[in-house]
Amino acid sequence: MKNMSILSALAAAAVAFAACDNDVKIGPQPQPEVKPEAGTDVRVITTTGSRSFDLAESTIGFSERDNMSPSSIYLRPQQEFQTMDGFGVAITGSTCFNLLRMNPDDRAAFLKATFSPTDGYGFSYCRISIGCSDFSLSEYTCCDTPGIENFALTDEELSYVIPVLKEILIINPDLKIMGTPWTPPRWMKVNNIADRQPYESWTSGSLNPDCYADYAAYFVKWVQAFKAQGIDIYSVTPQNEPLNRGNSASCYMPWEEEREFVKVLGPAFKAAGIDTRIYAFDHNYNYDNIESQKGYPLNMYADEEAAEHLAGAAYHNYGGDKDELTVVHNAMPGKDLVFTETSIGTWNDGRNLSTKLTNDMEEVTLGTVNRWCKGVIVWNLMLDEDRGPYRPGGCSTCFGAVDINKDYTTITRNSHYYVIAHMSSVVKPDAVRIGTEGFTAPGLTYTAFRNTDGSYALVMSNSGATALNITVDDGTHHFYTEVPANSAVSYSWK
Amino acid sequence: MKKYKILPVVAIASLCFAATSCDDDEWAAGAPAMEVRTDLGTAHFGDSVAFTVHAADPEVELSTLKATLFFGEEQVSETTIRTKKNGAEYQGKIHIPYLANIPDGRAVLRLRLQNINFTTTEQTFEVAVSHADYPSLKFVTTDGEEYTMERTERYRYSFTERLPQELKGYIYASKMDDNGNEIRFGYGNSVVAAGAADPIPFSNSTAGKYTVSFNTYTFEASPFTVLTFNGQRFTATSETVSTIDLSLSQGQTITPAGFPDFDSWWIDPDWLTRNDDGSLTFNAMGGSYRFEADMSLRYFRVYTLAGSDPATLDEATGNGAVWAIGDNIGKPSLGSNTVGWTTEKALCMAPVADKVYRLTFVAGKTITADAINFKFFGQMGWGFEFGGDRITSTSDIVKVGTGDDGHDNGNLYLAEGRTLEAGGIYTFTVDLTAGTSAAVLRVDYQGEQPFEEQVVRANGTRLATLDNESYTGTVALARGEELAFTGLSDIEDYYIDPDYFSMADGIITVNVVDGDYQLRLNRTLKTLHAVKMNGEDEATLAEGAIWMMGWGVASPSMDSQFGWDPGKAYCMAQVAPGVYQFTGNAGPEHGSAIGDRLRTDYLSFKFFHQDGWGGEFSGDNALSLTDGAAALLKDTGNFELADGVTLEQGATYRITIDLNAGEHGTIDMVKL
Repeated sequence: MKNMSILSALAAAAVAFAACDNDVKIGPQPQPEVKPEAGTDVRVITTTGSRSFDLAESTIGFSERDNMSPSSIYLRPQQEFQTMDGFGVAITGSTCFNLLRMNPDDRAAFLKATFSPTDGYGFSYCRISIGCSDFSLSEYTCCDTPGIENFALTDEELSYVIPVLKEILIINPDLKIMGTPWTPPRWMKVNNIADRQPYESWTSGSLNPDCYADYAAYFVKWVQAFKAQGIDIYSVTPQNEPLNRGNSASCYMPWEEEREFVKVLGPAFKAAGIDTRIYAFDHNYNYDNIESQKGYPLNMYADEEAAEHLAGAAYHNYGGDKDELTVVHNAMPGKDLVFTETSIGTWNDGRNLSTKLTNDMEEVTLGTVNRWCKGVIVWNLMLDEDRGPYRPGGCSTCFGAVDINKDYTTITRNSHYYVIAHMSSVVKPDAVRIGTEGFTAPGLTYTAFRNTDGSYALVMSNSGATALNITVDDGTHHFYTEVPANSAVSYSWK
Repeated sequence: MKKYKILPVVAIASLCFAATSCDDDEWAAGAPAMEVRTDLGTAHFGDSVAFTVHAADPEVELSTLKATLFFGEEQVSETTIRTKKNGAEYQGKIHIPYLANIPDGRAVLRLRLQNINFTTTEQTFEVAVSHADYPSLKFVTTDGEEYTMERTERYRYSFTERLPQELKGYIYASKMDDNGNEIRFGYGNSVVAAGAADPIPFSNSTAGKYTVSFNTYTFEASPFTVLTFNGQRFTATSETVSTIDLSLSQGQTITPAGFPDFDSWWIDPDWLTRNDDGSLTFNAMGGSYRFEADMSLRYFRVYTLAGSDPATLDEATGNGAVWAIGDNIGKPSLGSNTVGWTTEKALCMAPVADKVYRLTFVAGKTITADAINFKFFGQMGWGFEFGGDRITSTSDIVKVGTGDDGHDNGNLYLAEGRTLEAGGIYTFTVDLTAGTSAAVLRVDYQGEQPFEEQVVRANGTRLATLDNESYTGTVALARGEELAFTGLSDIEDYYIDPDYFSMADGIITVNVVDGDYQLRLNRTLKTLHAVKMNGEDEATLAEGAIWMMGWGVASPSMDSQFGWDPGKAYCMAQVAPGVYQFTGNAGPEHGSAIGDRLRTDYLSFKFFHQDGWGGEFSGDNALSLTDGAAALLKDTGNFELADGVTLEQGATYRITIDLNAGEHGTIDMVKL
């Protein structure tokens, strides 16, 4: 109460002071004790959960003082971890549907802001579906008529996904693209591989081992068809969420079956001169609690023939804990890891940036990169304000990384957009994650990188309720910065 | 608090006055000026830097002089002086924090003088701050014991002493100059910090001699070894044993932490299985159990509890616990820990089903292959026992004595002409489902323990082993020459019998007279002993060997007292022709450390001509005591501590028999 009364008095005095006709000479007021050095040495991008800083750009100069700060984070470039592939989003049919309803100039501006490595946030890795997903405009594959000779891209690729990808590739020609099927053509599916009875359903069922060669040819044709459109496919996974029998389109593919398919797919790629990487699994950390499927990709790696064709494994975070990434890496350090899907939605208060921003930094971006993931891809780039369009049986409660209203003019960025932007804007493809040591605090998570041009990147997340004053020291330069409460902050400097 | 109360009031008054009067002439900014009259050039972390400032303002009263210290851009210290008197000299001190991992460098000290109208002037100074190079530190326990921590290299300090397993105290760095302060390092927020309030909770895996260290740059300190199962702490019960009581279910995972070199620990398969991730799985039936972590033998002794006591057998129901006591069995190995008839070492059988109990042995390692002689009991000690009238064996190999068949009643023995297969795994299962008077013993061969011999050679001679733990071999040794091992990477960590050998920089030198010696090396205990040989037999006095038996004497620690146990007597080292020697530290009977080969408060031993009964140095053949020995020992037939004598714990004593002196030789004993 005493403080309040003092403040009230000060306020009253200030009012009287302002009302005076004459300029009042008053001595210089005490300045904040410390400010970051003025200068442009360090690019800073800041977002707070309150959006008071909304991917706000600023700069900091290097400090001239000796760095004796007890709150120093030291970069250790000699300690190298994985080389980064990139960060991005899924370009689903629904995303393309929404994008193509925007005014072309608005769409171009949005895509430039999102994907441009020089004038935007530089999203660098995208995931698209091979055939339909649960955010397509229909259920389909590229070969719904039996016989692999009937393979052809469909209207959804030709009129939606590929036009959008072409627009993005003009903006960012180095964009990496991952392809993933939600289901094989139904004529390749059986009820299970023991009985091998026909299984005419978009969901569940198993890939008929008799169709492994045809399905491998399907992948080859799909990659080649995109190549013919000028779109290189950087990576594929054999099956989205192979332990999920539900959704609007799916196929149950335990590791034993995916292993056998990979032993056909890998040689098929090789024979066709395709160097697209194959990532195993593409599902949850907890293997959906199916005991026999624990360590799914590790079981595949145990087969030398299958392992030869696998670049690594992909994970989603709808079940289990990200520490599984470390377990898998430690068990097979020579294989890559990539995080390929997570979604916000009504179930996790996904539009509430004040709770999601730092949580997603900790769980999705920094959390997976600090556990060896080379790339991080979140789910739909853009859904409309009604969470659509979506498929019956698919996700009706998902939000996009951005939401767009139904007049296709107003975009609201959600946490997944921010957390990817905070990575991709400063961490460039082929950057190497490097070691750090020094200051830690509850709620503070960070990761450092060295880009191929020699610049450093540091991305921090502070989920605490108070700002943190930190000095960042790369051994040559150091700078002082404030990381606001409940914020994500990205830095890059040379 | 006073400063903060007053300052706003002054500000308000000033503001109100200015705002209401609107008269330039009645308000002045003033011109505060200061002259710093102290050299602020250098300091150590932890110092309090003194400064003297002459402060004046010709127009306006002064308010405060504030000194603020920055490490880099970060404010780390501040002090404010009220400047009531204009034109006066003010003196102050600002503390330079001593924090971990801060490099030497130029800190920035800002002095800001402010008048009552908020007009300020300031000056900044660079202060070269560095770490003091203390010649030593002091560690003071919470009980007031003081230890000097010697400087071993820049920033590094340590002391090595016999210490309890847990050691709480503070580290003190002394004042180094006029601006210096004595600095007390304590513990807070789980780290060592200057000025922290709590004592530093050092803890070692065992009590005994260990090193406490501290780094004045990083504040890293050691040891902080905390032994836990699933995060629950063990409690030290002796210098080498810590225990924990747990309620467990069968198949439950146990995550151990803090156990040094845990990969080398022997895991008793009756109770536990080691998993690939380092965790353990509990194998026995659910219940309450005590785990004794033996840091010396590197294994867990496990037994069933009833409340907080070792469980006993309920004779009426067959529930509770069954124990094995006797010769020829031992865990983790016979070589390191034979049970014998020492009841405190009884092996608790693991309950594997209702009223069914099991022990698993490996022949040659945990049970003698060619002879057994032990018995089942209903408690860890004497009392209820399974005599031949209570238990029968279904085994062709292992039989139960009846007392009438040439074998002690209830004692297990091997059938005539039968042996266990060396390296074979045998389960001994006692089934009480038919009652405690109709117990059935089943012995099952479970296959052979995988064994890939690790070859160890001494001076090129391959030592024999059945279990990669105990190695023996006879080698010709020559005094003053080197004894070199291959196949052992950690020989420097071994306890080398100090009378036979000396070791410096990893090189072992022979101290005994030339001859053939059987080397006895134990890789679990990390010990090396030797015995004088005569061909393939142990030497006797005639071949240059004197043997010691009795209580209060042991090797390598009091856990292995010689006792009056023929075949297990200690062979004295003949260090010169006719001169035999035994050297050891004095330690307690329980909780002794490696090297404690003499008991502080009780000795009763005698010397023999051979490894067992027969010729001895007594009666007409008695050794005479030197003056030194007489001050410590008396000859009562056995050598015992002289009246009123207690050996000094931790001190080293040497017993020497000189057969060249006296009528039948002398015995000398001195404190080294």
